[in-house]
Amino acid sequence: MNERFKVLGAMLALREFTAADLADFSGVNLNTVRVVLGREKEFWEDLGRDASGQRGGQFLRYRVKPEKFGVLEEAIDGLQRDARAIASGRHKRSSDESGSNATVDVPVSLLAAEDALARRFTETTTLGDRIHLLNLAEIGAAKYREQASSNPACNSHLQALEVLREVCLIEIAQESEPGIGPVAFAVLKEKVLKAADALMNENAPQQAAFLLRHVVSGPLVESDTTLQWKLHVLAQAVSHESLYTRLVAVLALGKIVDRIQLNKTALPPYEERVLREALRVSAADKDDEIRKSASEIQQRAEFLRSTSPFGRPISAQRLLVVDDQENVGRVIVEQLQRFGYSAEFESDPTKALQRIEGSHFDLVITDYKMKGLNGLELAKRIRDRNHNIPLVLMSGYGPVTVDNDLFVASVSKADLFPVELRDVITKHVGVPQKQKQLA
Amino acid sequence: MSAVTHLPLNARKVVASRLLALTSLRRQQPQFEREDAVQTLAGIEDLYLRQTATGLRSQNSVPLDRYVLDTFRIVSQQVQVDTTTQDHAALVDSVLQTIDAQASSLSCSSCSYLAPTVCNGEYSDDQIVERSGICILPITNMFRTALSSTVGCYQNFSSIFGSATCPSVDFSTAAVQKRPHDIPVPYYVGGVTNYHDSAGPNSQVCLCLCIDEFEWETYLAMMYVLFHECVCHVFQGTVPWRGQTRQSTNANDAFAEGWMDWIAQWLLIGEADRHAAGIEFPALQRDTGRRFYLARIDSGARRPSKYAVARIIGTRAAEKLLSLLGALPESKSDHLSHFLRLSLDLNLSSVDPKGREAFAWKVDQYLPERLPSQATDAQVASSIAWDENPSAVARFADLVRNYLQTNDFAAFVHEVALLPPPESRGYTIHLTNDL
Repeated sequence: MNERFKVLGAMLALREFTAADLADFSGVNLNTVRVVLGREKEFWEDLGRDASGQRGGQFLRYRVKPEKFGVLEEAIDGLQRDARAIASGRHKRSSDESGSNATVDVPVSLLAAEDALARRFTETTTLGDRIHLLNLAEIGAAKYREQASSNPACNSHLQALEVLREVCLIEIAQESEPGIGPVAFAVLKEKVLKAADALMNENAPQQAAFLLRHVVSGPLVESDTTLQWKLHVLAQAVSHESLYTRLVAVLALGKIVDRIQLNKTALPPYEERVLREALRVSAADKDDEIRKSASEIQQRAEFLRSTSPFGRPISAQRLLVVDDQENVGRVIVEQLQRFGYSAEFESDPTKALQRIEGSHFDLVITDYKMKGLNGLELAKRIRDRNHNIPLVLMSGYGPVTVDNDLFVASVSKADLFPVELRDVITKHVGVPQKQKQLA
Repeated sequence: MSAVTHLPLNARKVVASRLLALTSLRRQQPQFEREDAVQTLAGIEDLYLRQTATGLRSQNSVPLDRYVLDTFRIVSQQVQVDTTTQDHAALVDSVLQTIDAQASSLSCSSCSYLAPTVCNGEYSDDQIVERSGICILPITNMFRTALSSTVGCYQNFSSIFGSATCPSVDFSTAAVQKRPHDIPVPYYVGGVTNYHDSAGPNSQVCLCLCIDEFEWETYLAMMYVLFHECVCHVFQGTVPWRGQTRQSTNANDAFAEGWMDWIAQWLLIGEADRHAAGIEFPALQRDTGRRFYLARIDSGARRPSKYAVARIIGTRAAEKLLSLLGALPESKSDHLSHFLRLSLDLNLSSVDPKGREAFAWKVDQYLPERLPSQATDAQVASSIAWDENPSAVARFADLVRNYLQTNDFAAFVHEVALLPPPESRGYTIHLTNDL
């Protein structure tokens, strides 16, 4: 099959050829080429003798019949499909035999593509150069996507590459449009950590660290939103099982501390708490170097305001977010906490109703389309139980017209934050307790 | 054009004395081997290295020639009292006399155009070294060899070199504190080419040496570094000359640092094998150059260079295209010439460096790697399954055939740039500067 594949491929590339040309091009032995040619007569026609023949015997010259190009390509594709099935089966067997971490070579092109986006991208300054690097990464990765399903190592690197690409694109977009919202970043946060995990599982700690480092040292680190997002990634990474990743994460936190001090910027209370907590976790790490680094950074971080001691509630106002899409709901809760509210999450509308009955909430934000009860039905049941609690309806289809007796506002899920929802909450609940104190 | 600078006097004292001692000793190495006295030779070499390290602390008021002479006499005395050298006394005496004679012929006053003023650590030192510089003459000669070989190569193979506004080329030297690269080899030498094009094209090649670590291996590696700078960078982007300052390519550039470097090492090997004048230790300089070249692209090393993967793309692309040209009936009889013509023309041309780099990446992705003859069944199956794409190769071969007919490398590069990434299905992004 190998020889046939190679000879047919050579025929496709050369169009007109002698048997010797095919042998040179394909690297297949001349006699084998002749055998394949004899069996594949349907594809070629005889053009006569080649004047350059040697030793008195002139080579026959052939050419692919123009009407057979398509069939020839199909034949080659078929052979390649067979080869892929064999290669995948072989890989699967070797994985089964040697456990989950069978070593498979990762194509250099993928590593070079990662390098382009993770390291080189942070060193470039112009849009043209950045687009060039995105293009290079695409060129380097494109042909391995199909391989991903059967090659876990390849898949991990591709996954990391996709995350890097997304980060790069967001960084480019943020330069021209600083309002890229936290939802996009929160989704990315999950992807970054997942990709780092996958790389760790494939024995690629350097690449995992590479990914994290890129996340931290990206050119837009000074943008508040990006910085906060990166902080959250790192806060999770300090508890990662890989020592290398934890070390990179704590050192990166040190850089963030230095950056804040250098730029004389301030973190929102919630982020500050996240930073302190992450440093506290690192300072208690089992590794000496990480502990030492964390203690050092904690000292450098003493300039940060200490207005949010751990464990103390930030605000007295309690909000409840109800959404059956857990990832979206949690993002909203996270944002509310950043603003200084005490927010809680519930994915089941029926349970949400029970919680509202059992305790006090200042405001409830509910999704419109949910399994079980939809937002409208939930609101009606809340009102039926004589609760006057302000309700906000969220909809993925944009703001919808609502009954004013039921809802104080309707907001779009697509552009949730920060202005629209915050304004609604401020209007009906007031500013967070913390901000009042500071004022 | 920018003023050419050279190693400071103290650094030159170290370099000049070591160049003289090391080359003289190594010329005698066959005799030492015959007498089974290689250890003795190594011991003497070590004494020279230790004693010449004092050059960095030497006063500027001590001229270089006197420093070298004094230092060598101290070493001679040390060698003569060393009992381990007495078994081969005649050979050792002979080599010491040779080194001493060479040191005596080093004369700063005959070198300096400002004589009786000689190099004294002042600004005029650079001009004295630039005009004659007998102390670093072996290095300057290496550069001249590399440059003339490179010019010969461009003249023989490039189709546009004749029309090039040939840049003036300067050679400078600099001392650095650390190894000037991150390549996993113990060679403490690096190079950089800067462009000073304000008054016409001017390329300044600077050889960077870590003086403390300047030893025999580093000496041998210098030739490859100089070939690299000359082949890859000196003539880059001069056709057509637009009167604008050229941009240096970065260390990640797959074309300049990978593809063209393949040609640099190929040229060095060829010149060394034909014992070209100016390559004094051809076999050793060739082998060291080859080791340096391979280490640059060794991504599997314990601590690989951070630019290794980008360089691999370039060298691999060059080898793949050469292999394709060697297999196509239209070019196989003279495939190396075709390959060199395309590569050198592209390097000479003022095509945007980003375009050259993307070209190298595309070539690498479109053409499969030829497996070694002892490849396992698994490697063959994997290669056919994932690496080879006969339809893509056929498309690429059409473009190559067209190039061979027209010799229009710019059109070829443009057409390659327009090819979509091979086998991308459903997730391709096409970004342009028009965004």
